Amino acid sequence: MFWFGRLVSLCAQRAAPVLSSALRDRIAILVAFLTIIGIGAATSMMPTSTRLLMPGPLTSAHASLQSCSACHANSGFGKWTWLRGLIGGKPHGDSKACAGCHSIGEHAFNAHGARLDVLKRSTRHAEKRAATIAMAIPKSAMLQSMAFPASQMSARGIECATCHQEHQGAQFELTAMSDEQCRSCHTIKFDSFDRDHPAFDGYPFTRRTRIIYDHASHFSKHFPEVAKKSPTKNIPQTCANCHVTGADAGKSFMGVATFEQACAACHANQINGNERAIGPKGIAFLTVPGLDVQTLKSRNANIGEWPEDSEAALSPFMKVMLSRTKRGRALLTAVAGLNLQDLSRANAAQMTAVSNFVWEIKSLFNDMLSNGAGSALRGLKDANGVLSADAVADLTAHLPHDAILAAQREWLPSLALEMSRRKVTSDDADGVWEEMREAANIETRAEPSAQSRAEAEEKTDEETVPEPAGASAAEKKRAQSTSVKRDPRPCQVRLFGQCLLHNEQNHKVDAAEAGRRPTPDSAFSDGQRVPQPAKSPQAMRVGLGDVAAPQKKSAVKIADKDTSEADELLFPTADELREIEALTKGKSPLRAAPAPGVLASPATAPAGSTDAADAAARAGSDGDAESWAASGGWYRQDYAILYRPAGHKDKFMAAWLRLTARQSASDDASNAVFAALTHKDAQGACSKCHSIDTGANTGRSVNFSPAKAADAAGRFTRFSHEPHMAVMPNSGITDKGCLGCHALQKDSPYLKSFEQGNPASFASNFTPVKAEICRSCHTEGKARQDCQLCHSYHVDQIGTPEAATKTLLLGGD
Amino acid sequence: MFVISRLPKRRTSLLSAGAAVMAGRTLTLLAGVCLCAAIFVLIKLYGRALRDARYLDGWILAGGMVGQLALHAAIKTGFSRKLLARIRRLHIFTGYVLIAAFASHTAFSLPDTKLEWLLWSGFAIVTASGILGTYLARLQRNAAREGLPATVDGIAKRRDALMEQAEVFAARALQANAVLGLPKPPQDAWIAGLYANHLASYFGKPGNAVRRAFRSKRQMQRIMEEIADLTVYADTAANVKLAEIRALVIENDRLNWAALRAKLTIGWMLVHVPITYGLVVLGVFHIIVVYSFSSGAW
Repeated sequence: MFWFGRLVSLCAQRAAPVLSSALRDRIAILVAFLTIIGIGAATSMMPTSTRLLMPGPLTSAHASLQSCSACHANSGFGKWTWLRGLIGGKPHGDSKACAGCHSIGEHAFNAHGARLDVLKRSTRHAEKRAATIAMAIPKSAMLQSMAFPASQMSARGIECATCHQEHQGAQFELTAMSDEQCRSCHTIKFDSFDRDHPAFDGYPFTRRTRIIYDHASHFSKHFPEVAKKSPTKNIPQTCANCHVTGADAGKSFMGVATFEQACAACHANQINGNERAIGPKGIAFLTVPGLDVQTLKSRNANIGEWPEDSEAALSPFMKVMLSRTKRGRALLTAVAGLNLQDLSRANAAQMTAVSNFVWEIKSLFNDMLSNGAGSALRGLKDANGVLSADAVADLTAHLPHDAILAAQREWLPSLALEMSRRKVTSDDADGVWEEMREAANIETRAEPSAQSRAEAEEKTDEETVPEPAGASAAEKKRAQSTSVKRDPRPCQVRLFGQCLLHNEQNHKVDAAEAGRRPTPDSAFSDGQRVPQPAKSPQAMRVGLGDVAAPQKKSAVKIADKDTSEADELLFPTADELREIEALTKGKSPLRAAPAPGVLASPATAPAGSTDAADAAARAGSDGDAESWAASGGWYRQDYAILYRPAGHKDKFMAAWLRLTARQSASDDASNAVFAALTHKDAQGACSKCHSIDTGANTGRSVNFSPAKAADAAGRFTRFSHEPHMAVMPNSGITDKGCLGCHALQKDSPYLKSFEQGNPASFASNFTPVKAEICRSCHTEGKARQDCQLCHSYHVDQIGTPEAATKTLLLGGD
Repeated sequence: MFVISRLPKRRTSLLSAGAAVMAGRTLTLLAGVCLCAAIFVLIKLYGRALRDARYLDGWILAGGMVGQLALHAAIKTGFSRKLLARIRRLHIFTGYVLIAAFASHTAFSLPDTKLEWLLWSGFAIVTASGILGTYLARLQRNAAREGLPATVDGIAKRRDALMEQAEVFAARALQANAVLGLPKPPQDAWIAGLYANHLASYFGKPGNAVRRAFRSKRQMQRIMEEIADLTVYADTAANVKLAEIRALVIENDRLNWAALRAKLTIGWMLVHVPITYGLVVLGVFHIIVVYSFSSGAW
C-alpha cells in the first residue's frame, strides 16, 4: 500500500493525465509480463506444481488419487506434460481412465451405457408413443432442444464427466443429475411425474414369464380341484406363499418360490414319469437301430454282425454324437431319406452308405467302451466352446461302463473283434465322405441306371470304408498294425466281465490255427448257418413313442462278406469263436455270468444297480427295469439304453437342452434331440413349465429359472417392492394387497403366447400397473418424483473390479 | 450494443432533461438486468443439455474481457468526444454484465485453490476498481460542471491561491468606528488568531484523506463554528470579512475533495488497467489449463 501510495504521489506530481495514461500502460504491460514470469516460475519450480493447477478438491471417494494422470489420460507426469492435453489424444481417454477402476460395460459411451440397437428401438418406440399422446412440450425443453441439442453430445459419445463433474469439493454429490438433464435427450418431454408423465406402457411386463404358470387357471380351476380331491394338500392362500422378496437382490426384487416349495406337491410325479400312463418313462439314449439285415446280406453289404430283431429307431442323441465328425454328418445325411428297415429299393450307393453307417455306429459303441462315454461327445461344442468336464458328466449322466458293455455283449458281441479288423480311417479324408454323401443324395433323387448300379455293386465288393486319398503304403501298414494290436487275446481268468489273466499260449495256438479254420464271416456267409430272421416284433419307437414289450432275443447274425483271404491275425480267437457259436445257438455265455450292474435277462435292470441285477438274474425273471428306475437313472430295454429323469432339475435333461437349444435351428441332429426333449409328451415334461425363447441371432434357449434380479440388468425402470408393501396397507390406496396394483386378467390368452418363440410377444395374467396408483403418493409435496427415483441412468450396474493381486510365490519376496 | 444515456430529443420534449436522463438510466439498467437474466438462462439451458455449463459462462466471460480490452483500446485511440463517451458507457455496461457471467462461472461461491483465488481476486479487483472508476468519472463530470480544476496540479495551484487570499484577508486591518469614538474592539486580533489557530493549517494541509473520501465535513464545520462564534461579537465590517473567509473555507473544502478525487483517479488508472492486463494473462493460462485437463464434456 505504501508503495502504491508513493506511486500515486509520483504520478500526481507529474500531474498531467496524459502522462499518467502512458505510465499506466507501461505499468500494465509490466504487470502482464510479471504475471507470465510468475506462472512460469510457479509451474516450473514448485514441487507440486500440477496440484497448483487443480480447480478444486476431489470428492472423498477420489481423494486418494495423487497424480493428475490417474484420471487425465494425456497429462503425463512431467511439470509441463499436461499441455499435451491441448493436442488431444485418444477419444474418451479420460473416461476410459474411469473404467480402470469402475467396470462400466462395453457400451459405456452410449446413452445409458446401453447397446445401440436397444437405444434405437427405444427411440422408435418413444417416437410412436409421442405421436399418439397429446402432450405440450415444456417451453424450456423446447428452447433447450433448439439452442443446444443434446443429440450432438450423445452422437459423439457421452463422457463420464458429462454428469460426474469432479473437483467440486469433498462432499460434492457426483451422481446427482437433474430431471432437466434427463429430459434433454428424451423424445417425450415433460416437467414432472405427477402432472405430465405419460401412462405406463405395459409396465412391468417386458416379456412373457420364463416359467409357464397360468395364474388364472390355477386360481379358478386347479387349486379348487385339488382342494376338493385332496384337502390335506397345501393350496397357496396368499401371494406370499409363492412370491417373496428376493434374497439375491435385497428388498427390491420380488422372487418366485422354488419348485420344491411351490410346485412339487402336484407336479413332481409328472417329471419322474410316475404319472405317465403310456409310452416309455425313460428316454432312449443309445440304440441299435433296426436294419433290413436280410436285404443287406443279399446285396453282400459288409455290415458285420447286427441284431435282426431290432426295430429301434436311431436315437436323436446318437445323431448328435455321430454328427460330431464330418464322416458322421455325411453318413447321417446319406441315410436320412432311407427306411433302414426296408432297404429293398435302395440302390448300390445307398447300400454302401448304410453299411458305412452301421460301422459308424459300431465305432461309436466301440469308442464309448474303450474311451468312456464322454468320448462320444468329443468335438461337440456348447456356447462356451469345448465341452467342460462338468458338461460331459451331465450329458452322459455318469453312464456306467457296465451298462454299455452289457448292451454290447448282447447286441454286438463281436464288436471288439470286428472293429479290430476295420481299417482306421481318418476323418480328415473329408473329400471321400462328401462325395459319398452327394452320391447317395443324387441316387436318392434319381434312380440309377442298370450300368451304374452294376458298377456300384462292384464297388460294394471292395472295401466299404474308403481309405484316405493318397494314403501311403506306410500308413496302410500302420493302420494294419493298429488293427493287430486291437485283436483281443483269449482270456484265462475272467471276473465281473473283466479279463484278469490272458492265455498267451492259447492265443498263440489260436493264431496258428486261425489260418486253417473257416472264419466266422465265411461261415455265416454260406447262407446255411445264418438263422432265419425271427418274426418282427412290435414296433419300438424309442424316444417319443411307445416301446413294445420286450421281445425274445434271437441270435445275432453276422452278415459280413467272405474274408477267407484276409490276414490270419484278423480271425477270431478260440474264445471269441466259442462266444459267437454260443450266441448263434441262443446260449450266450454272458447270460450265465452277467456283468455286475447289468441284468442277465433281455429285459435288463438299471445299470449300476448290482443288487437288483443279481436279484433279477437269480430269479430268472424279466424284471421291470423301467419301474426299478423309478427314482431316475439308466436302464436297458430291448435294443436301447434309456435314461429316466431323476426329478426336477435333472442335470442330464438340462445339459442336453442347453447343448442343443442354440444349434437346433441350424443343426438337424441337435434339433432332433431338442424336439424330443421339448415335445409336449416328452419325458421329464421340461417344456411344460420352462418356456423356450427363440432369439434372432442366438437360437433357441430354455428358461430354466424364473426371473432373477440379474435379469433386470439393462432395464431402464426400477422398482422396489418392499418399501411399498410396508406403506400400502396404511396408504388408503387399496385394500386388495398385491392385486391393488396387479389385477388378475382371467381371460388373458396367457398360454397361447408360449406357442411361439418370441418372448416379447405375450399376454400377461395380470393388468399392467397404472401410473395413477403411483401418483397417489409420488406427487409434489409428498413422495419423491424425480426421474432417478424410478429410472437409473446406467442400465447396467457400475461395479468395481477386484484388485488384481498376484499370489505370493513360495520362496519369493 | 447500444447503451441508453438519455431518451431521444423528440421524446424528451415533454420531459425535463433530468427526467430524460433518469429514464435513459432506467432503461439501461433494465437492459442490463435482461441481458444478465438471458445469460443465466442460456447457461442453465446449456448445463441441462448434457454439457458443462462452466464452459459457456467461461467463454462469455473471456469474450467479454476481450471486448473490454477492445473498448479500452478504442478509448485510447482518440475518437470524437461524443463517441468516446458512448464507448465508455458501453465499457461500463459490459463490465456490469460480466459480473453476472463471473458469478455464474464461479457458481456464486468462493474459490478453493490458489490459482482460482488469484483469478477470483484479479477479477474482483478489476471489477471493484471499474465500479470506482465509474463513480470517479461522474465526480469528474460534476467537478468540471462546478468549475473545479481537473488535475492535481491545477487543484494545488488553486489551493495555494486560496491560502494566500485567506492570509491577506486575515492580515488586513479593519477601519476604526469614527461615529462613537469608542474603544476599538480587538476584532483584527480575533481574526488573526482564527487564522493562526485554525485557518493556516486548514488551508495548508488537505486533511485526513479517508475522511475526505467519505466527504466528511467535520474539519470545515469546526472552522465554521469558530467563525460563527466570532460573528456574534463582530461588527458589520468584521462580519463581511468573516463572510469572505467563510467562502474561502468552503472553496478549500471543495478543492480538498477535488484533490482526493484526482489522486484517486490516478490511483484507479494504476490499478484497473494493469491488473486487467495481468488478469488477461491469467485468464489465457486458465483456459489452457482447463482444456488441457478437459474430459470432453464441454
